[in-house]
Parts: sequence; C-alpha cells; structure tokens
Amino acid sequence: MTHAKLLAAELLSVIVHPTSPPSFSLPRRRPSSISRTEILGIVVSLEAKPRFLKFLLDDGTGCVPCILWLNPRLPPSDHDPTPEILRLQARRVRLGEQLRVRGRITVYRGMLQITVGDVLVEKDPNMETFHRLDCLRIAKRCYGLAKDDLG
Amino acid sequence: METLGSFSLSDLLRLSRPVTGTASLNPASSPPLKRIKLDQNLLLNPSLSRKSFTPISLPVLLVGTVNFFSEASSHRTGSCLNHCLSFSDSSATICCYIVDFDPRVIGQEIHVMAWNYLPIKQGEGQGVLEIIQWRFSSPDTAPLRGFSLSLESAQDSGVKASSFAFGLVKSVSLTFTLPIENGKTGEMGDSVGFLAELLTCMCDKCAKMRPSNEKSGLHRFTESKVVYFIRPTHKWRPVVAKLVGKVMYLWGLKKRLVVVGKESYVMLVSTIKTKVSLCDSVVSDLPTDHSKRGAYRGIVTGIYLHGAVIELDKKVWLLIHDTLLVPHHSLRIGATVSVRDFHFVHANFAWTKVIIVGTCVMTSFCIDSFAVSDTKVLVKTEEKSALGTFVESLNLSAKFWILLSVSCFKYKFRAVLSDKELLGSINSAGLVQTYSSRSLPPDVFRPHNSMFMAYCNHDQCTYSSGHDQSKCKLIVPLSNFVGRCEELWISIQSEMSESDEVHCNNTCDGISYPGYRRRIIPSDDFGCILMGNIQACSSSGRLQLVDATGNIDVVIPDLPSDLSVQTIYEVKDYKVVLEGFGIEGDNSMYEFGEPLSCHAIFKRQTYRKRIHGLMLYVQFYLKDSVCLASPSRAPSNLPHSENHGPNHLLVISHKFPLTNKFPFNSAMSICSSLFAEALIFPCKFKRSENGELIQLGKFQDALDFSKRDHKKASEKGPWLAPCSLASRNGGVSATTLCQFNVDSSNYMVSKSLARILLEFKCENFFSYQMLRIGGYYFLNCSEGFNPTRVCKCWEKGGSFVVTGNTLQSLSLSFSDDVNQKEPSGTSSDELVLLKSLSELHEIVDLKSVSQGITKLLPPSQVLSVSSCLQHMFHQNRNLYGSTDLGEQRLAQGDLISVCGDVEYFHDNDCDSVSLTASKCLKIPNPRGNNICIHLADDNQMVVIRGNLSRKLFPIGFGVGASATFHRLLLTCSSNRKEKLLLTPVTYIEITSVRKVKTNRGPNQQMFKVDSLIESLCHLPPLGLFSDLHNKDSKVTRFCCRILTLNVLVLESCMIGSSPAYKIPLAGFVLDDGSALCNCWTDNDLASTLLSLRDICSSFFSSDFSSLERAPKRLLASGLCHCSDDYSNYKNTVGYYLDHILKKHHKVIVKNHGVSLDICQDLLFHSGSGKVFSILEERLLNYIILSSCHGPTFIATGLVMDASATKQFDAYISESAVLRGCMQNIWIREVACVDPLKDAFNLILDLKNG
Repeated sequence: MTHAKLLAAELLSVIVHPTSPPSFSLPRRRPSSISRTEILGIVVSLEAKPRFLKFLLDDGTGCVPCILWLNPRLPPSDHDPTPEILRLQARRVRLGEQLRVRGRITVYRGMLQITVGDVLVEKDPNMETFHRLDCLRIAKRCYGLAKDDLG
Repeated sequence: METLGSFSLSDLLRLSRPVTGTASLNPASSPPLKRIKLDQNLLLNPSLSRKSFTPISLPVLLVGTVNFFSEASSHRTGSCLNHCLSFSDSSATICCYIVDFDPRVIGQEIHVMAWNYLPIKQGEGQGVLEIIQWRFSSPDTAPLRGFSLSLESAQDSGVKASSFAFGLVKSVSLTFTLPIENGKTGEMGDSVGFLAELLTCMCDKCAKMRPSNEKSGLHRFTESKVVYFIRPTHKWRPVVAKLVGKVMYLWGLKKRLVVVGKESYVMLVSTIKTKVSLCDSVVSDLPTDHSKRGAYRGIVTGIYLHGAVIELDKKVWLLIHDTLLVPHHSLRIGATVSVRDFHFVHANFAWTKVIIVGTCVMTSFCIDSFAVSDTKVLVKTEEKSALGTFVESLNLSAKFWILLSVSCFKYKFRAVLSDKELLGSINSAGLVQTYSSRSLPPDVFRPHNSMFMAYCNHDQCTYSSGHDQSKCKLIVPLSNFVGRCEELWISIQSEMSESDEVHCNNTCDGISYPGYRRRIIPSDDFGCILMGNIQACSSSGRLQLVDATGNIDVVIPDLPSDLSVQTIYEVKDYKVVLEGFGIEGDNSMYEFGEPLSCHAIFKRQTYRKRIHGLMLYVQFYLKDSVCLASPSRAPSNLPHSENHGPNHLLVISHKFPLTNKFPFNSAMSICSSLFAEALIFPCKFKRSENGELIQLGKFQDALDFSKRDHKKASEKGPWLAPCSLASRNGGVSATTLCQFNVDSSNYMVSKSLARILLEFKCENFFSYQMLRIGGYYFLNCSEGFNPTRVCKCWEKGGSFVVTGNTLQSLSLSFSDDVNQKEPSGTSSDELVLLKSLSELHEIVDLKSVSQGITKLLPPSQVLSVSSCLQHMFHQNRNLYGSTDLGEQRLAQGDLISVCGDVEYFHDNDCDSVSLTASKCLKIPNPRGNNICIHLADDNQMVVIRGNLSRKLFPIGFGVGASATFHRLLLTCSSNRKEKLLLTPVTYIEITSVRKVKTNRGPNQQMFKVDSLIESLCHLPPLGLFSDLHNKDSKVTRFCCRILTLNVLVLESCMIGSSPAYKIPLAGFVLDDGSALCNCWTDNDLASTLLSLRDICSSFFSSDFSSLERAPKRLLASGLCHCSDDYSNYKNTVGYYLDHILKKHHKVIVKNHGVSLDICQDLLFHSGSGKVFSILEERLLNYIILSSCHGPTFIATGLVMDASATKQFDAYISESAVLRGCMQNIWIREVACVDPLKDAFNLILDLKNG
C-alpha cells in the first residue's frame, strides 16, 4: 500500500502484468509488486480539460504522464470538501513548477501513467537532490537493489 | 694454410689512425709469416671515421720485444712511466699495455696475436699498442725459469746490499720525486722512486733469510714492510704494480733511515744489486678489510675532468686522487677496470645520493679489457693549480661536490668568464675556489701530506664510509633546472590522474573550460642553487636569470634600480612556480633522463623547454641572494652620474605593455621599444660631493605661480612642506631634507606637472621592469643641470630615451597608500611577486605634513572589484557607447584601474563544451586570443574581455593571481550592459599568486562532504518503517508523509479564562516509501501535523462567515491581545476548530474506511451529544484531508510495544485493524525537511552502508 519513491526511469520500466486491473512489479527488486508511487519532477507539459488535468513530470531520468481527475470518484456530499481540495491542487500544476506527486500507477491505452492522489509544490530546488538520494536509499535498503544497479 | 702478414711498427705510426688487428682465433696454429707493408688499402673500411678503430682486412701479426722504458725516453709522460712498457721492433718503439700480463715477458720477443693501436698525438710518431693476446715468439725464447728482475749491468759493482725481503705485495705507490740531501756531501737532489708495501712472514726460516717455498701454509704474511724502489729500479713500477697479491723475493736491498721533514722511517731501499723474483709456489690472499677498503670491477661509462672523475657502470663514481694512477692511454669509455684498496662513501647531497669510490696512495688500478669503440685518449694536464691543491685537501664527498661544481661553473659561465677567472691559476684562486671555500663546512677539510708521507702513514687515513653533505647543493645549469621543473610538472600531472584529482573545470556563459593548476615549490625541495646574470629578455621583455646553458623567468619583488646586469648572482632561497592547464595525452612521451643527475651534469646534457602551456618562473628576493664577482671583461654599464646628479623627480603614471609587432618571427624581438608615462616634478636635484642630494630651485620658480590666478594661493601663500628623500645609488644611501614650496589649495600643482614619455630600448628593458606605477624615481637628464634654462623634459608631450641607469628608484613616502592591496606574504599558499609601494619605500613618517603633498600625486584610481561594480552601476550609461568610424566601431568609455584575484581565464573563441586545453593553448593566434578574465574580490566578480596574446601575459598571470589591471576600458555593449575591456594600453601588474584549489575525486569529495556534515550537524541517520521489525526500541528519524488518519480526539479546554482546544490523541498512518506505519502523538505535535496553525483556504473563510461572531469575545478573553495577532489567528484552521469545540466540548474522529486511498469514511462523535452541522463536518473533513495532502516531514519517534498500544484499542476502529498489522511508533518530534542538510545526511548514510 505504500507509495514507492521512484525515479521516472524506474517507474517507466516497471513490468505490467495483464491482470484486471493490471498489476505492476519492479524488475530485480523485492517486494517487486507495487501499486502506488511518489515522484518529484518539473511539469514540462500540461493539458487542461474540464474533467481532468494531464501533465508530464520530468525528473531528469524520464517523463512520467500524470492525470489529475477533477471530479471525485464518489458523488460529493455537502460536508465533503474534496472538490475544493482537488481544484486547489489543480491550481498548483503549472508549467515549470517542481511538484511532488503521489498516486496510483495505472495504464491508459497501453501507456503507463500516474493517477494523481495529491500534488505538492516543492519550492526548494535542493528537494530534487534529496528526493533522488531518498530513492536510492530506499532502493538499496528496502527493495534490495543490487549495489551496481544504483547507478 | 693461410699466410700471416707481419709489418713493422713504423708502418703503424705512419698510418696514424686507430687500427685493430688479429692473427688467428687459434693461437696454437703457426702459419708462415709474410712481410707486408701496411697502408690504407689493407684496412677493411678506410673510409671509417679516424675516431674509431679500423680493422685490418687480413690476418696480421706484430713481432717485437717488450721491455721497460729507459730514462732516456724523456718524451714519455708520467703515466707511461707508471703503467706502460715499451714495445719495439727494428723500426720503432711505442708504448704497450698488456691485459694478460706475464712478468716473464720483460726483455722477450713476442708475437702479438690480437691488438689495438692508438696514435697518441697526431703526427708526432707516438702511439700505444694494446696487447690483447700474445705468445712468445718461439718455445725457445720462452724463459724456462720463473720471473726475475735485475739490473744485469750492475751486478758486479761493489755496493753492499745484504738485506732481503720475502712477502706478499700489498700495494704499490705511484712514482714520485722526493728532494733528498746527500748525507756525505750535503748536496740537495731529487730522488725518483716508488714505494711498495710487503706483508712479510715472521717465521724463523724467513727471519734467517731462508724462506721455505714448499708449503705455503707455513707462512703468515702479517708484518708490513715498505720497500723504496729508487732510481734506477723505479722503472720497474709497471711490473711491480701488476704483482700486487703475489709473493715476491727481493734481494740486494739496504736498510736505510729515510728522513722526510720531521718524520723518519726505517725502510728497505733498493740498490743497483736489487733483484726481484716471484715465488709461484707460495700463494696467499691479501687480507681484506671491508669496512675501510675493497675491490671493485666495472665498465667505464664516463670519464670527466681529465680523468679526475670516472663513472663506472653508470652508478659508481670513482674519484682519482692523482690522475697518474690511471693508465691514460687505455682508460677509455667501455674499458673494464679493476680497482683495489679504495675508500667507499655513500654521500647524501641535497639533491641526490651517490656512491663514491675514492682512490688513495694505496690504490691499485688495472685495465682488465680494452675499450673497443672509444678512441679518445685522455690528456693529462701536468701542472697542478691552486684549485687542484684545494681539492686534494677535501674529504671524498666534498671533493666530488667541488668537481661537480667545476663542471657546472665551466658549463654555466664559459661565455662570460675565462678559465682563469673560473678555475684560477697556479698561485691564485678562481671563482670556483673562493665560492667553494666559503660554502663548504670546515669539517670537510683534511690534512694534506706528500705522497711519501701519505703512503707511510696510511693507517691514519681519515676517510669515513658515509657523509651527510645535505648542505652541499647543486649549482645547477639552468637548462637542467628547466628540465627538472618540466619533469616535475609531468609527474604532478600523473599523480593527479592517478589520484583521480579533478582539476576545477570552470564555466563561463554555460561553457565548461579546463581546469588550471599551480604548484609552488620551495628551493629546499630541489636542493639546488641558482646562479646567473639577471637580464631582461629582449624578446619577451621579462626578467630572466641567464647562464650559458639557458634561462628561466624570474620575479624579484625587491628589484632595485642599481642592479648590474653583468653581475653573477647566487640565489639559494627561492620558490619555483609551475602553472598551466593540464596536459592532455600520454605523459610518457616526455622523457627527461634525470636532468639533475651527476651524469647529466658532467656530461653537460642540454635540455630545452618542451612543454607548451607550462608557465615556469622563479621568485626570490635580491636581499637573500649573494652577488658574486662581475666578469672583468664585461663592459660596465655604469657611466657617469657623479657629475650630473639626478635632475628630475618622476612619478610613473602608467606603463605601456608589450605589443606583438612581429608575430610571425619568434626570433625577432616582440617589441623594439617599451614605454612608460611619467609625471615630472618641477624640482631639480644635484648630488653633492659627499653623496647628499641637494635641491636646486623651488617649485614656485618652475611653475611660475605668479602667472596663475588662484585666490587661495595668493591668500595663503606657498606652503612649506618638509620631505625626506632617500635614493639608492651603488649601495650608497643618502638622505637629506628638502623643502617643497607647494600650493596647498588644490590639484593645481599636479595639473601643472609635465607629462613625459619614457622610452626603453631593448638593452634597457631591465629598467622598464624595475619601474612601478605610482613609484618615484630620479631621472638623470642628459642635458645636465642648468639653473637658468628650462629643461626639454618639461615640455609637455616630450619623450625621453632611457639609457643605462638613468633612472634611480627613490624612497619617498607621503602617506599610507590606501589603494594598494598589501600582499600578506605570510601565508605559505601565497607567493609575493610584487611588493606594495609602501613596502618598497623606506617609510618616512610624514603624516603631519602629508596633507598638502598628497595633492601633488596623481589621484590614485585603483578600484577593488566591488568598487568597480558600484562604479559601473552608478555611471551614466548614456555616456558610453561606440562611435562609428566608417565600418569600424570605436568603443567609448572611461579608463579605470581595477585590482582583484583572477578566478579564472579562458579563451573566448572556444565555443565547444568539450573544450580541451590543447584547443585553448596550443594553437597560436598571432593577433592575440580573445580572452575572458574573471576577476574577483571577496564578494563580487567582474568579467574582463579583450584580445591578449599569451606570449604577452605577465609572469604569474593565471588563476589565483592577485592582479591590478591599469587602464581598462569601461564601456557599454549594444544591449546597454556595462563591460570591461582590455585595451592595447592595459597594463597588468601581478602582485602575488597563490595555490589553485582543486576538486578531488569521488573519495576525496566524500571526505569533504563528511567533514561538512560533521561540522554542520550531528544528525542520526534516517530510518525506514520497513526496518522497524528488526530494530531495537530506540528513537529513530523517519522521512515520511501522512497517508491517512486513524483517529483524532479533540477537546476544548480553558487556558486561564480563555477557551482553547487540546488534542489528547491523534493517530495517523504514515508512509515513508518503504512501508506504512501507525503513529501516535498528541497536542502540539498533532496540531502541527494537522496544520491547525496554517491559514485556512479562502473558500472556507466564506463558508465560515457565520462563525464571525467571535472577535469581541476572543479579544475580551485575552486570547488575542492585539489586532494583528487576532487577525492572524482568525484566519487559521484552529480558530474555526475552537468554535466547533465550544459547542461539542469533545470531538472524536475515527476512520472506518477499509481503503487507504480516500479518507472519506470518517465518523465524527460529539462529546456533547449534539449533531454536527454540515459546516462543522466539512471543516473537520477539510482539516483531515489537508493533513493527508501535507508535505514531507521528518518525524522522530520511538517504537511502541503491544502493551503500550493497547490503551489506544478503544479508539481504533475495526476497519483500521483490518487495514493490516503495522508497527506503532510514538512521535516525539516533528520537523520540516531541510533538503540540503538532509541530503548530506543521506549521502553519508549511503556511503556507510
């Protein structure tokens, strides 16, 4: 259930298993199965639609397509502020902005993408380095990645 | 059977060239002899050089008789008498040397089967025959009995000679001459002879003169006896010397008392009845004393200084105490020699370690095989100079050093000093001797005895086996020194490559440029002394230390004006600077062959600077150097000046740099003339008879104030300012008090100063180098002094050609020079190249009177980088720009001077990211490269651009140089951006250089990061939730985010009389990317995680407008004491929560959702039992959702055991239990992520493990 902190290149190289819904696993890692991820990158492409926001997040190792649905999955009730929070998050997605994105890994038309759960703006550029190192640390200590694969 | 040719010696002499011949490889065969005439046609290859042995094309044999030279052979040298036998046939007699010597050969006719012949002197009918293989002419002529020597003609004389000696020949001295006094007549004469030491046996039979020769084991040769072979037996020396190690009978000796000086010795002396024979049946080995003496056999690899130094096997240095010891004819490169009874020394000199083998009077020297390629016969200088005597008085290592120094001195100064000046003569000491006697420590001198005394007292010989001569430094030929520096530079590059040291790649405008390296090496690391003349190079204008072998650029911070270019300076204390960009490619292509090795010095190997892009120079202070004698034949450059006296006072306002007029011909001077601009002061001085300076005339006379309309001046009148002047001329310092009458009002005086252009021709570039911008100098005017006439120098726009020592530096100080940056000079990383003016001048305290005089000086405009930037910012941009001159644009702007540190420089033409040093450096651009210089101070940096040829770089210009740029053009680019440009008149002055910092490779970089982390923080490493199962219970830091909420308990409370809320418990699910974890906390930390102090989003502000009834009450309650605090507080989430809790007293929120994705199955429990309004639920939902979308934070917590978590069971919903079994931690601290600090922490974590 955890959001695996990954670099874009790693995420784009996950193995997609044709289950329903599709499941994902990371090569050469244990536990290999993942369903959620957290990445950090710069918005390099943005496509705004009434029901969703589609953007590309570039972290220097690759570009990950992300989709932020603007309508909640369940019909909103009066006491649920989710629509407002989603709109607030959508406003954070701007070209050139450094974002930290969490979400589920999904496949759309054969292409891997992140269905965004939340978006956070990271103002400090050092956060990119920190995120990369954190990815390395977790890969090394948690996923059991071989030392040579750390790059 | 093949016939054998035979020819006469006269044929050989006539041929007069090195010839080699052989009869047969099988000496047993005896083909018939045929008389032939030797001429060029018989040579195998007559066209071969006359300096190499030419073989004879057919088998030849030489027939002749071997004998001693008679005394009548006056033309024989001392060496011949000591080593050579004569070989004669009916036609001629020549020297011969036999390798497999049999003493029975004396007086016998032999056939020489294999031989070399060398003419000794061309055209004089002398030569030497080197006999490699021989046999007696026929079995009949071979002596049947053993070897015996006697003077046959004198056997019947009536001389009584009854003494006898039987013993082992231990050593044989050289033939020497001893002045003697005839005991009977009292007449003085010379005794020619040699000494031989015999180890005799003391057994009874030997004592009774009946030595037994049957059993050698009966004899113990222990007792030393000296036999003095005097004329006429002295000619036996070549044979007796070859009997060392053999047992010998001697009859017909006389026991005599020999008195030499105050010493007397009882010894056996030869007579005409003396007879020598060998005792072949008794064999004994010479006793060896390894601690003192030994034996060595090796191949001659070098012969230097007329045979005084012989190199064996390229590793051992044989010092010959007396060159007569060696057979001059056959000692050639390639010969194999044996040395016995020598002294052995390991000498540790400052620059190298050598093995020295020193001969003495006891040493025997033998040629074992002849050289086959070298035909150069050693020429012995017979007369002994004062230097030779001096050298003999030294111990071995000092002797070696001085011989090396002789070689260096001759090599370095052969062009300017004669041999007599260098080496002295028989009676007078030369430069080498005076220098050496001053430099050598007193303990290297040893008493010197005559050969007789030395031989007899040899046991007292004081040579020791090891010498620490670290004070003896090499007087290095400059070309070898340059070679050594280049060798060092290459090794530095290799070391950097091996240690992964990455040179600082710098970027400019996004382009990466190669790194720059600088090494400052002190003189102690070289162990060398620099010596030479100081001259200004006519092609580069730079100051150089010069000798006959080469030159090296020098920087002398205390350069005086009275330095003589002919004087030889000795520089012991210096620093060598090597700098440049890294070398690309294979370093092994540079082979230097140890430029400072003794071999290279003796052999005079020359080196040329080969590495382009390496800037190499030496910095030293003249005050630390010693002035050696000037060459007598050098013309003096000091004319006159006593009569004239310095006439004008100058201050240098600018120096114009070199210009590259002849770029395509490096042989030509770069510049025919150099120029400097000066302001000439309106006063005249004259040197009095006693050396003092006398001021002649007054300022107001020259300036003619009366013609000027200055109110203030007329009101106050001329101002009298005392000023102290001191000049240096020929080492004489004179000080006098002068009076300047100046106008105290303003810059009027300085404006009225005449500007003069000083021109320096090639031969006076030295004077140009001595000049400093802002420095004061006296100018000797060629017109001399005329009090009634205004000098031409005063005419504005005039020029003056500087010759000789026209300019004299002047110590003049008015006030502290605030604009000159003081070079620290104390840091070991920094090297001063130029002293500040205030340091250069002798400071005279004139502060009390300086106010008026300071205004005489041209306003100093050297800006720091920061000041320059301010200046650029404040300047009116419209003033700058460019003027169109046809197609060319002429930049306009101010000329300013800026000082700072050169951070980096690079060619601006290079536009490739993969730029290499070779691209930047190795392609010469005659017009000068478009260069970009980054100049910085502690705070700011400016970029200076312009064209500058690398040939014209001042010494020291490079990264890490502290530089002053005079007359830079401050102008505007087309986009109205200010820029600094180099102009053709820009003069760059380098004050100091410092080591260039380098980046290190990965390992070293880690180390630097480690130290940074250690210095910045002592944070424990970050943990992972996935590791909690394996961990002991201890406080750990986690980098995580909130995923969802488990439970939240909110209660209202009263703080004093004010309502408030508290959070008794908050449970979250945290996610750190490795696993999920339940975390628990309360109150403040929970409030932080829920962001209750954050400003509420605007859409809530409108929603909760109905709750806007609180202000008055809150203000009244004192929760908010001022309007600002209150307005801040009312925008927070906590403010609205406060309202909710006032109604419900206690709120419990539980998450009943099974999925962790969406936090929507929250159940709210009210403590008061009241129903939650939509707005209230909405707010609570908002608080929780916002916290779940919150930022990454660092949580510090402790793992809770099962008993500790039981207390929360009541709060945890069944769904939460269903969500899986997770670890529980109690959070003690929450902090924001500091990306930089925590990234360092992660690097350390990754490195460790």
